[in-house]
Amino acid sequence: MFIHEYQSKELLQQYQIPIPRSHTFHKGDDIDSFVSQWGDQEWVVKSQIHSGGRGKAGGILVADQAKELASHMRQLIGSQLVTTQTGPDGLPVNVLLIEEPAEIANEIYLGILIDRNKKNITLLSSSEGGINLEEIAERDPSKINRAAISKATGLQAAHHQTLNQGLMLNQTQQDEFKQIVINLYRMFCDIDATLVEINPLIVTQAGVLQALDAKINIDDNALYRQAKVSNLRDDSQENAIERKARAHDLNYVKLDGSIGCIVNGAGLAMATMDLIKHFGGEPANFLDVGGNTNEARVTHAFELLLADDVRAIFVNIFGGIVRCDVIAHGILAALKNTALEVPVVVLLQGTNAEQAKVLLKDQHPLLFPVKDLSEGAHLVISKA
Amino acid sequence: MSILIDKNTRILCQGLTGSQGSFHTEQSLAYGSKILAGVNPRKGGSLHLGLPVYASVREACSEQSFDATIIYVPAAFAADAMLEAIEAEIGLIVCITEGVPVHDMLTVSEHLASSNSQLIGPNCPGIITPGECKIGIMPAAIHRPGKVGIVSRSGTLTYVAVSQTEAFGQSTCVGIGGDPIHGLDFIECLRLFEQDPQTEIIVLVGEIGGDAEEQAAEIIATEISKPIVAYITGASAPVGKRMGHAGAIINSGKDTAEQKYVALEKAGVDTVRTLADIGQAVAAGLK
Repeated sequence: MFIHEYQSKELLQQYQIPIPRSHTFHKGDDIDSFVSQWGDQEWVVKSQIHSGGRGKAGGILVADQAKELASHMRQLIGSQLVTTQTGPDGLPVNVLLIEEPAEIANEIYLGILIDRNKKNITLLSSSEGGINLEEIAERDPSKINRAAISKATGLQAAHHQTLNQGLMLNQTQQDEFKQIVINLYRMFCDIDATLVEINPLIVTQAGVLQALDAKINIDDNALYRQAKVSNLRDDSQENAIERKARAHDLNYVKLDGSIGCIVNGAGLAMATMDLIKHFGGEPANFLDVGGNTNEARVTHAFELLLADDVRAIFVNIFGGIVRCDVIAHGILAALKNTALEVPVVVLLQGTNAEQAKVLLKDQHPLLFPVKDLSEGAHLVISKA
Repeated sequence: MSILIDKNTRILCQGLTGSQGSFHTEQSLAYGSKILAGVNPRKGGSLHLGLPVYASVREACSEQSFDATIIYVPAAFAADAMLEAIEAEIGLIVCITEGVPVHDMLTVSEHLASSNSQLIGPNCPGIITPGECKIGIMPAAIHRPGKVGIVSRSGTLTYVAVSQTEAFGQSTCVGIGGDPIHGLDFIECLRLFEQDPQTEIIVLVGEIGGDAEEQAAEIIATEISKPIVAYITGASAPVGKRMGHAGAIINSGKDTAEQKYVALEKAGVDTVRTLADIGQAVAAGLK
């Protein structure tokens, strides 16, 4: 799960990590009263959306007087911000973080992530803050300090030494940095984070350390025990259909194409998209109804795709534990509940596939049963 | 021969009394798997499906000996179940449970590293040696004893690979699971298949995210003499979106399907770009 910058900074603050002075402004709040209360100084107005590249897209603006602050706020709040990562529709700006401009003397990178290959928690620091980690790695990998932490023993003195290398901090700043690392690591474990980045962690001209930007990702699998963090979810940053899919326990990701896919199992769902693409079609979505699906889920899946205006649907089920006749009943129920106007190509293999074929035979003029994957992919592309 | 399990493997089931545990244990028993007992901390001393239920793994191990355990307990308790099995020194631990928090898996991995146990999963279909032993949730009927070894990060894709290799049968099929941190990986399974006389060809099914396929490619050239057919799913997946499996996400732009294909091809692996071609490639590889 992703959370906003302002939420990340609130979390940092709870862990005594210094952040710039700031206010949050929500859509519907009164701009004039905000400006009359706070407008007598310079501010940075930052759009809060779940995407990087906000600055380049014009979502972060500097205001050096009250009039400018009001106009920037009016311009950004309630707008759809399009970045290189959001797709053409952009994401709605419902919150602004209005932050005191930083006087930067030096920028540091500090991050914590789970290294899936080494199976540990890795802390990373670099003197080259302000650009992303991949760029630092490309320019000069020797500028990245890495400390691998065992969950059992936690942070040790040697880790702090490693992370401190090349950062050019004086003794007081080193102590501040050490405390930030300790607190950040504690937060990382407390909230079941999979990634935390402070980039940049700045040294201000007054010589103190401050987290200027923060990114936090949280493990979806751990949300059941992270009630406080779960509440930070912002539904407005999600596609409406993705939101509905989550409510029905369906794994769904929206894509740009026109061919809807309903598949059991995440791997097979990806493989089905790949196959459509391979033969020249464009998948409209990833949709996994689950290895252990039932009739209702299949019906919901149909409703989701039909609401998304797909031009054809490919149902690809490999019945293992899931029985194909159950899936067929789901398809028939969906046909009853919705007015089907797009062709549906159906490939059912495995457990009870024969019964399923009998059930679906001649039930609807837009149902097209197929015998194998290639035939199914070709047919659905030709119908879309 | 086969890898990891055979007709003599003695199995414990953690979470036997739950609905998943009961359903799949019945199926496995019908297949001939030697599931001998179950564990439920609140139902110790009872019988379920005719099997004795113990209150802990340790208690079960003091009464009988086990080569393997299968875990069906809910995600919130799965790490504890794995740790209990490691502590009781059970050789093979198969965890089917989906949705285990990754921080829990870090703890499990650390304990695993200093033990003699091997872990398959979590979030996996399990392992089957056709005709001998099934420890998992895969549909038994599609498997035939034979010469193809299959290792896969995805459950349903394993079944597709099995159905496409029906003519040759399978030595053992291992679903290593779709989570970012899991037990046995491609490398260990490839080495085991290399040593197994029954296995003549290996099918590797990978997916986007992480670099397990690239790491496998590094040892293939020097250590694996048997032919390998590889398919990677997720070529059309967008960057930064989790595609169902917790581990199936392109994070850096470097863990794409294409990157993995390139690495495997460099190592001399026969790759197929669509799922529909696995069977043909295996037939060609066996000629």
